[in-house]
Amino acid sequence: MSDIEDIKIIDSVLAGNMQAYGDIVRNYQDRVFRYVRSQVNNYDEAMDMTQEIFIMTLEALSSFRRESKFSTWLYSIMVNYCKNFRKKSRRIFEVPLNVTRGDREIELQIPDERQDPEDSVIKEDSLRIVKEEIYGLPDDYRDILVLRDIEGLSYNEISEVLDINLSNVKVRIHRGREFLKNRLYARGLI
Amino acid sequence: MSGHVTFEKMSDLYDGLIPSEEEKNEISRHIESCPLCYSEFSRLKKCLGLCLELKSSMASTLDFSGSVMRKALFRKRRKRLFRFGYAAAASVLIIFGVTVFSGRNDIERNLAKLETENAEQVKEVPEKGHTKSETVIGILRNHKADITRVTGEYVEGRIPVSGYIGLQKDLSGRGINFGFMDDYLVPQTGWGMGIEEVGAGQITRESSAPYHQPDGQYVRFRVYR
Repeated sequence: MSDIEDIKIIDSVLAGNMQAYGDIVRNYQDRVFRYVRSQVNNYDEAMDMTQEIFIMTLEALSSFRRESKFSTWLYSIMVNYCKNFRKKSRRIFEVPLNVTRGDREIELQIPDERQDPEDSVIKEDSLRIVKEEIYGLPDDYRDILVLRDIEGLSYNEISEVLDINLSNVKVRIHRGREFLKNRLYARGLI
Repeated sequence: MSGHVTFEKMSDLYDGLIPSEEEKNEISRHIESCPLCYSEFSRLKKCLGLCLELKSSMASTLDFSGSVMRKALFRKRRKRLFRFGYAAAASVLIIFGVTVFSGRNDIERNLAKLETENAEQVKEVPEKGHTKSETVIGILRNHKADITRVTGEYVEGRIPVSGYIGLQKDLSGRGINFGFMDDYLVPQTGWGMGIEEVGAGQITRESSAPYHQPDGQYVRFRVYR
């Protein structure tokens, strides 16, 4: 879907045809979900967050000034939402469940019986490792790597979405790539 | 080209960001000929290739549009409801405020009324040492005194010596200031020696004078406010 088509749909939504927004969701849901999934290591949470981003975008649609592409604007909302989510998550402390038996302290493990639906899609171990390693990257590198090497955004678009200058984008892309390459190499994947 | 190709150059080469064709060819030639740079560039390409593979496998497998639209509509309704709730709450507050304000006005009105009534009542109670002219005039009439003058400061009159004692007691008993003068020796037209002492219970030497005057004599007096 081109930017012109996006604008047509947006005009229709703003004119009162709310159902037209479904086309925008369908068009961008995979891209948004992939980015969110790279930020959150929980499938269900990523689903909720993706929906939340689309609802926020719909609510803010009237403030879209059309100075940039709709996709760039949507990605900005998505990136900021995830950034805020990370900030909030860091404030939550995880308390291990420990029990003392005799002299030993045993940590209780509560197994998650649910299967990650993605794992049935990601058959190959190599891709699972790549996913893990991307998730383990520092925030700045992960953001930029996902936008560039998974979503295929241009350097300029990334600059707009992340609100950083172009040379900074270049530096972060180089470092992020080098970081990931070294980690995958260390795990014998490349 | 001197030395190996930096990672930044390799990354730019991958993205097609080497500006000059000459430099691009030079870097490519070096990578082909240098085993170290070749393996490094191969790793980069493989790494980024895996990222692209991941893109196709990382999908939600679900259509969000339905649930997004449902949630959005629900929130819109909830917002409208909240807005209605706020409006209702604001109305209640305004009505409450008006009631309180008007109640306060009523209270203030009642207070003002009460104050007026009290003031009226206070006015009617003669202050000690001072009284209304009418009261004094009433007393004087009771004692059959002739009232000759009433001013803002005093009531002037005359009374036969025989009645003076009673008048003196009555006025003193009510704490009313009065003065008198012995003018039985002076012509009735003038003030003679003038007024002496003023104040209840302060009758001095002169007060006893009228008692010794012959019958038919009178005392001129002034009762002060």
